Amino acid sequence: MSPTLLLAWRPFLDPLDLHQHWYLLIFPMALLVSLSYKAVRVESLRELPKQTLVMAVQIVLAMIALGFAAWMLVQYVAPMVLPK
Amino acid sequence: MSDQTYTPSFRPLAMLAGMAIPGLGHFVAGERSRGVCVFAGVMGLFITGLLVGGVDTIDSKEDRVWFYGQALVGPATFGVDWYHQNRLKVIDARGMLRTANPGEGRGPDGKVLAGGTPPNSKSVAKMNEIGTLYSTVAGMLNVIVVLDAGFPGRRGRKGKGAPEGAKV
Repeated sequence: MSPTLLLAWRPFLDPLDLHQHWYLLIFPMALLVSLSYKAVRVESLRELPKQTLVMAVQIVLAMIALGFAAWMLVQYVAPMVLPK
Repeated sequence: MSDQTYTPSFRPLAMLAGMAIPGLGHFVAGERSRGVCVFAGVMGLFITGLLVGGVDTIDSKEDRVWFYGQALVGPATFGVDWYHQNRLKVIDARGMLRTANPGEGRGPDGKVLAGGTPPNSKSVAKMNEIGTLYSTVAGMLNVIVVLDAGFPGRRGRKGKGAPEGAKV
């Protein structure tokens, strides 16, 4: 994001200009989804930080694996299957 | 009934409170720390969505299907949507309600004014998609939270389903 655009940005009224780095937004999403879910799942809240981190890492790794699988499908499997 | 019997309880008041504000159901049922964590998670997602995509991501008129998911967060979504529709959008020459374009302003009667600054910007592409996704996921998670507030025994915690410090 350029400093000029950041100066013009009005929080909540204008969207963030993170179009080049949109994939970074998976980290806060994974963390907040894990926090919400684990907050109602753990028996004792003492386990919450660890369980939240573990689930967040699992989500991020699963998304990377799904992205890689989709890339393999489009790049290698689909050209083999589809007629030329 | 034996001590070993697992009996899920039902807390209708906690369920109603959870529908009003995420985490409030757990809070009023005595699970205050859990309620605060739930609030931080669900509202964190909702507010981050608004921050990423702007208020344009909550739009009951233009993105109705997504709005159904976002509405599960509770009255906060309806408040944001009301503000978006009635305080930020403009009425153009054809009487259409829409987001002001760059170079357009909003008059006191809500009609579009040539010149000035738009009250908000239309979000597009990835930022709109991700912002909308954040707030919709918040709504869907809140369903799990509300169900947990209403039926705490389903969690299967120590003490035969009764949460620590909870009023069962």
